[in-house]
Amino acid sequence: MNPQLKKGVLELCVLSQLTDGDKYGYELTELISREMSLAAGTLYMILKRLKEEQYVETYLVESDSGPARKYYHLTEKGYGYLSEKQKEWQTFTEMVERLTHKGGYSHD
Amino acid sequence: MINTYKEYMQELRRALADFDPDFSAELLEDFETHFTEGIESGMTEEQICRELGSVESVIAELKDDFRASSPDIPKVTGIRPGSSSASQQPVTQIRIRLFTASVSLQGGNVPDVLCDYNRDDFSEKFEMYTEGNTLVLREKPLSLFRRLGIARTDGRFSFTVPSSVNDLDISDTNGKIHLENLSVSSACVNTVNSKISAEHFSAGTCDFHCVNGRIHLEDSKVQTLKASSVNGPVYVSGTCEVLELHSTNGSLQASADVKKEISLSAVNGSASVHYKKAPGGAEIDLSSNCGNISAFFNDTHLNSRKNLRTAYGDRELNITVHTQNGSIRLQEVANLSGQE
Repeated sequence: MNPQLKKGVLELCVLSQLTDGDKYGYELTELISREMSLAAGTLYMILKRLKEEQYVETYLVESDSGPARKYYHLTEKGYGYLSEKQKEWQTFTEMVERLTHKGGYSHD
Repeated sequence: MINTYKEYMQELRRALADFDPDFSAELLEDFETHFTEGIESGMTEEQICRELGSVESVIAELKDDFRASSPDIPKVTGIRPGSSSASQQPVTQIRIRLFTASVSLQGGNVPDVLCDYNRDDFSEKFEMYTEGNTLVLREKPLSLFRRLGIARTDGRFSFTVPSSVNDLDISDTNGKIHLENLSVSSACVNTVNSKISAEHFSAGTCDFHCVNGRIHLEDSKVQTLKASSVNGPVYVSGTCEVLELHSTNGSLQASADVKKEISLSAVNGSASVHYKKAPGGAEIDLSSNCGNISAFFNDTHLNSRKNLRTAYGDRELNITVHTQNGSIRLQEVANLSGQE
């Protein structure tokens, strides 16, 4: 898949994954990197940036077996940003659909 | 090919050495945890290295999102809209790179650069910082959707600029650029899909360029002024030593007091020059492939098709106007005030 295209939708995917509950780093990156065959390392950079922008916040949960896990939580601001991205994605896919669907818009 | 935890983390640490230590500490932790979790779930170090991707590509992603040229990433300096710049050194150069927001710069009696922004999404979309004497305003790289033009384009920056600022380097893809009451040494201004306007503007050298928009400079006092538009008109009024205007599909209009050289070149557009009477005479070279040429100068009126070459006096001023498909009108005037 075109790397530029991938990059644009990653934010949308990462934030969407957090809408059904907080997830810890490894869980999140495994899920997305496997699904999109993407370097997991780059996802940590994206998560870092989303945190800087305050779209997500993190907290640690101690675990008996293994290291403390850093959970990512979608903030109010993040929800707002996500819904903006969802709308844009919706518009984008509708547009592509119209242009690629045979018998769609006719040219005058 | 790196395939052990130790090698990977070493390489990553080395690559992050130039970055803010607090910033990179968290990232390193993330990667370390990833290894631990991975090994626990039964993967080998080699598999994990491969899954994470090369340190090179990871760092490339980082540089894409954060400005990577300074060790204090991603800390933004004290500059924020509504505040004055917090740098020690006076700002002498302003560099602006925008995609969607418009920007206007006004000269003012201020001790430092003041910046105002009309929306509340500054930190989401832009970054502003100083690099030595240069104030940089940058719109962050566009996401896929913004690139498709679904962006909001009503962000507006307004700068008040002190006299210490000498150089302007402004590039705005889809937003308007306006300069007013400014005096600088050099200005390089570019826009793709919008207009450039300036009023009461003075400079040593100016380079204005736009692709799909107009350029309108009013009362400009510039030594060497170059303005060009691909699909739009160019209008200049003021005083210059050297004036060079070019348009591919648009008209050119100059109403100026020029000392040395006027050079207008249009492909599909008319050119009209009102110039102040040159005491030292002028050399005039007008040519149009498909248009009328009409020239008033030195109390003479000449009409021509295709070509008009003449001179009078000591030929101090050089006037060259060429258009492929358009008419040319040259008018010498005694003075320019009140003239269009």
